[in-house]
Amino acid sequence: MTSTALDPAADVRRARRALIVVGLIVPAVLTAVAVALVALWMPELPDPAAMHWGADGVDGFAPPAAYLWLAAALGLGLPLLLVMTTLSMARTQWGVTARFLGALALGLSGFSAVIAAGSVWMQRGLEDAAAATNVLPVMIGAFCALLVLSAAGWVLQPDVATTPAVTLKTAHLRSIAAGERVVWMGTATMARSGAIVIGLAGVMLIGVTGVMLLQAPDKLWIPLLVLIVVGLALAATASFRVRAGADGLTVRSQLGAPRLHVPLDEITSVRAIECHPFAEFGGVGWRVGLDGRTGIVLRSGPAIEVGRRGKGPVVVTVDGAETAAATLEAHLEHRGAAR
Amino acid sequence: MLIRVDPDSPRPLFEQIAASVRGEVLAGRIGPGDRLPAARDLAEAVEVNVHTALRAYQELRDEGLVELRRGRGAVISASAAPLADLAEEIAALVRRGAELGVTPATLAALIKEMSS
Repeated sequence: MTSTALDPAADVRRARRALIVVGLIVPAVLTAVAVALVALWMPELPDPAAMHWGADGVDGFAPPAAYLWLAAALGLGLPLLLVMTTLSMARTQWGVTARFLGALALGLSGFSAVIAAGSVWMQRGLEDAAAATNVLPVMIGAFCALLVLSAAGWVLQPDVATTPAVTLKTAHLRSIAAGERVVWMGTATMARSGAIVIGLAGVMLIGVTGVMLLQAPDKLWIPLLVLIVVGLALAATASFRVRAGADGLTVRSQLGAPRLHVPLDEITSVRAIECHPFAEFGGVGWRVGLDGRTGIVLRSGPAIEVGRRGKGPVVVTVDGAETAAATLEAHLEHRGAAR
Repeated sequence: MLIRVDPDSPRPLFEQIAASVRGEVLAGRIGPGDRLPAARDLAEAVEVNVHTALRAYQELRDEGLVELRRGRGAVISASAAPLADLAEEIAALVRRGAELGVTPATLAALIKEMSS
């Protein structure tokens, strides 16, 4: 904590290096060990081997070699996905979310390694894979690995404090004349990269729904419900109209709701900042930060930050935040002069 | 987008709105492809009639600054791009005029005269 204030850039570099070691290199070693063990024990496995367990024993079978793929794909794929996302999103700023995702990457690779190696180990020497009934110890072992390794991954990464947001140079507005109406209007939208990630997730969800339609029509309502809820939530928070005027700050979803209004009388301070949603709020969307700030943060970049009397500040990422802040500032001055 | 409207001014409200949009383009704060707020939202924000806001947009369309598309609303057109490039020269001209005691209105009239 004491050293972090001195050179934030060096701290972020240190944190990124630690993330790569904890979230990628160690998982790669774990995965290599798991793959080696699976390969070592594979000749002793029944063919087909048990792959999936239901409430009453084995209900899924696959050739033993599938365990090699499972160990490699899950053990490396999940950490790779988590670490790459974190590295690309938290470039200049760091936060607890980045640290958590790094720890989770290590935990998940351990989980996957124990599942793959454990399932193979318990089936060694069996004639028929259906006899491999007791999968519980493997599951318990895997969850223990997840918890212990995640905790270790957390401890092994440096505690880098979130760098305070940089204040942007505020534009200055000609002061407001009596009777004059001065309003700033803008639109807050997601960055293209964010929209692509969400689009891909949506396609996957629709794919799952499609598969369920063919495989288990009676359980179709589960993915369908998820699809509707997620779709509605996304539609409501993908784009906001932002207005700064005599009545204060109004942020309203393009759908009409949700909305947020900060009356001018409640505003204690206004500034434009450089906002990094990932580091400051743990992601994009409508969020509440650990520091009590409410964020309508859809992308990295300029944002307007409004201090509220008796409540946490509000942060809205929007193009032209400097002018928006200047507009509110001018109204605050005008109100102050009128009194 | 910053809109300033003064009801006490002798200048029509729609012209003041159009001038605000023009000013934003000139300042480079909005550019080609940017969507303007819906006329209804704009009217509500500056407390004018919807028709006044629409008339402002139509004025800008007639100047070629804005395209009005059904369903998409008002969008800054590609031909607005050179305006931001002219901003400095216009400011310089107005400054020079002020030094010589020539009002912006006279300058505007002179420019109109030259092009006709």
